[in-house]
Amino acid sequence: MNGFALYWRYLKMNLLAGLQYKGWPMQLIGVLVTVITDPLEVLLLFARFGSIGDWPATRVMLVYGLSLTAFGLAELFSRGFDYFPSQVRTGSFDRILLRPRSTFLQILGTRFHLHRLSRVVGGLFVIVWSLTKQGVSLKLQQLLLLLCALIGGYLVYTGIFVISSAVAFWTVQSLDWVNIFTNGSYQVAKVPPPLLPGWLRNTFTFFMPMFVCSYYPAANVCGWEGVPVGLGWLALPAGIAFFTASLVVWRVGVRHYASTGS
Amino acid sequence: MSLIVLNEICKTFKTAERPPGLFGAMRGAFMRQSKEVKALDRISFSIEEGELVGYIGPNGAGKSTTVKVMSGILVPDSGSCQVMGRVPWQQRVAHVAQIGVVFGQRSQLWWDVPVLDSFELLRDIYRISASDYQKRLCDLTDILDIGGLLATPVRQLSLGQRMRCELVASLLHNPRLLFLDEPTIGLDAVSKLALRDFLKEINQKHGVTMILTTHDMADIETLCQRVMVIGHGRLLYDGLLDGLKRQYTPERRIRAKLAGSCSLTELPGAERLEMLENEIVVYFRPEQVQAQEIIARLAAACPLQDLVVENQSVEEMIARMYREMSL
Amino acid sequence: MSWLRPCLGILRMHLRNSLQYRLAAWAQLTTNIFWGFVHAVIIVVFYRYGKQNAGVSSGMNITQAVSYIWLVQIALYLIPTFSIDREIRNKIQQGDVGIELCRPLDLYFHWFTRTAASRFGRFLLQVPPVASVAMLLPEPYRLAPPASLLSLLAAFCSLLIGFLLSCAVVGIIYVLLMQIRWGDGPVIMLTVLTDMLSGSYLPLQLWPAWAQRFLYAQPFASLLDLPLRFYLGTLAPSAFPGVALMQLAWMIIFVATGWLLMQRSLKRLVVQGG
Repeated sequence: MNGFALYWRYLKMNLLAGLQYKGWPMQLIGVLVTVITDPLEVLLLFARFGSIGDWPATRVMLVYGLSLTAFGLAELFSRGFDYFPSQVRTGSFDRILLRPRSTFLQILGTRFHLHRLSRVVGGLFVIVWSLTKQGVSLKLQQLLLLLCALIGGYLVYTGIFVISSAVAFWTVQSLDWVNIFTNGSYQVAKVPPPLLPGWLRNTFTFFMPMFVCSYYPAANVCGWEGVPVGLGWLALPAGIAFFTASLVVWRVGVRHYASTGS
Repeated sequence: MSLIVLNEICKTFKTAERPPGLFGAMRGAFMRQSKEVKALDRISFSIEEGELVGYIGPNGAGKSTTVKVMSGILVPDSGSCQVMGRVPWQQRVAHVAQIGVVFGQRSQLWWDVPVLDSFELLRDIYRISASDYQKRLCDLTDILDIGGLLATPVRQLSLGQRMRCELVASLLHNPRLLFLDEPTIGLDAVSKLALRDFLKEINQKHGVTMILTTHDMADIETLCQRVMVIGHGRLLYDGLLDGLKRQYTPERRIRAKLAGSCSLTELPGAERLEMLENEIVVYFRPEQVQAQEIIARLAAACPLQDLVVENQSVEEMIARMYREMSL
Repeated sequence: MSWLRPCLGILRMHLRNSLQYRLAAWAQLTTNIFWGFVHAVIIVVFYRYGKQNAGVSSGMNITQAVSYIWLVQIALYLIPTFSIDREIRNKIQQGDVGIELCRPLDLYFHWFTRTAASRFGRFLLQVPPVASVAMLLPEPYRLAPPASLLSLLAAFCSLLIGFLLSCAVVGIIYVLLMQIRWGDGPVIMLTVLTDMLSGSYLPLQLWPAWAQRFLYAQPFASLLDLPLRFYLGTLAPSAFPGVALMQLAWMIIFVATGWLLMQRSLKRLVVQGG
């Protein structure tokens, strides 16, 4: 059975286990509330300040929405890596090594929580709202661009999860700083990227290409000035590159684990 | 060509030391102190296909480390290891597909879902063909009698039931080699016996090679003829269990209930005597004198009501052995 | 003062634990600083490039708004409710409440002091590094000094009351957690609500003008926003008695409600076995 099929199996199993837990509708709503209240800060600021330069709320929301949805997708499908450090601590990673499959695939399938769908849904809602308000009509090419942006973003965030949990091979504990690049990164998207301090913008463009997967595609789709046409298509390759790099880190981590034991 | 060959395997671990107390913690926050522990010290042995080997030693001796090296999840510092013609840690996926590992204290089944779901997921992980899977599942379910448990989530099973399901899970993919790490720990007497019978059967009927680490000597006695003893990372004994017994329990004893009074201070052929309430215990060396001779002499010297010939328990033997090997 | 020794004991233990996990401690520190910085950047961008000048309409200028953000980061462990004492939470979810009841302490106040002690410990560890970094940042991202010494004093005292109030809020969350069947959902919602209304997302003064009166009077403002206003100078030290009174009133209400609710739910305790 190939990798994808196995992953779907894991997914189904986690889903069934999760649905047995009676509180899941409440949890779904709970996460939804968190998702709704997150952009509230910025929306309130927009209410007070009007617009920033020539960036109305709708523009900012599009960039934010793309980041948010990509993050939500990663949370939905790749959150198994979040729980990985505790597996290293309890020694259950040994069991994963004893199975004739890629460790990456197995960890990926460890968790699947339906309630994380809320973030994806919320993000999509924001995107649709923003596009409608700006009066952008979507042709096939633009839809494709948005799809690439989301997939690229998903790969980037998954890569972050992988790297952060790979660190657990060395430190045995997950580190809080991963928050900077997960929750922190789409917070940064609440502000028009051109107006950010240079080094901050560059970090999230070149080091962790979040803006490449949200700002550039958004600018291309809506035809904003300041971003050359076609730059948005970098989203998918950037995502793949980042993800591949994270896999390398993962492999190094597994090798380290095998030579030092637990 | 032996199934498993280990040669001069060495492994050293670095453990971090954290001094106690508040000042110690503050110091530890800035500097790291570590201690080196030699877990494996030139371990060498070979195991043929079809053997059932017991692997014993006190806690921390290096048993699990050796098992980890042989299963490919730990890379040793030096030495060579070949299992089924492969170096385990270099070809992890291929190697692991042919071995099974059972941990007594950690389950490989998924906690919240029915047992059968776990089995089916394992079928997919190990890429077992549908027909093979069905056949083996039926066979194993039958022998271990877990038919009624298949629909139950694992977290609701008792330890004995869970252990049986664990065994099935580890054998679904028909491994040639099985590692068992304390499989009978915490089980009640009935489960233990059933488990041992099962292990014996698959070893003898299906030729599955097994390596059993355990603290329960009854396991060893029932199942293993060959035994390896490890202490402080070194292999201290590798041979038949009988040989070990002879080395460390040179004495047997006869416990006789007296029918009347008897005062005996010595008996020809006996090492020593112990006089209790209305019992007399005679210690003798079986290679120097036969049991029936002692019995005959004792019966002639004292009125006996009943008697029993005992070996020193294996536990006592092991304790004595650890003491003598200063483990 | 029998509660003092266990409190100190918990404090000492938390300090030691925090130091032991040094990497995690450093990581947590840098995360906090980063978060503070991100929020500061957002605020600064709005103030600098915003079309309407909210500095005038809200009564809060850019320096004050940014300082507010940093103060929130510093007070993070003291006030917000999402840092529920993990131990206690796990205990409830595993049904160990019964065991806690065997201890000869009134459960509510036992938990209250435990939360207070552990929070205070973590707070003490975070203040020096975060505050010093925040003060050394370049304008306009930095934490400005307090409006006056008296303001600082007023802020500190008010924060202390707010701290006690937040422990009371957490008390009610504990009781809610004991209604096991509801699971995480309601707690998450309540946490988000209190966080928002306490001003930890955005200073309440920057919320719409028409909501200001309500926001001032609602209980959660007394947790964080109002105390910090003293530091910034948007509330004069002379306003302290009035504000403190309101804070205390809310605290008493929450403590009483929490205690009563707990007595009721302890009576119909359902032990979740497993």
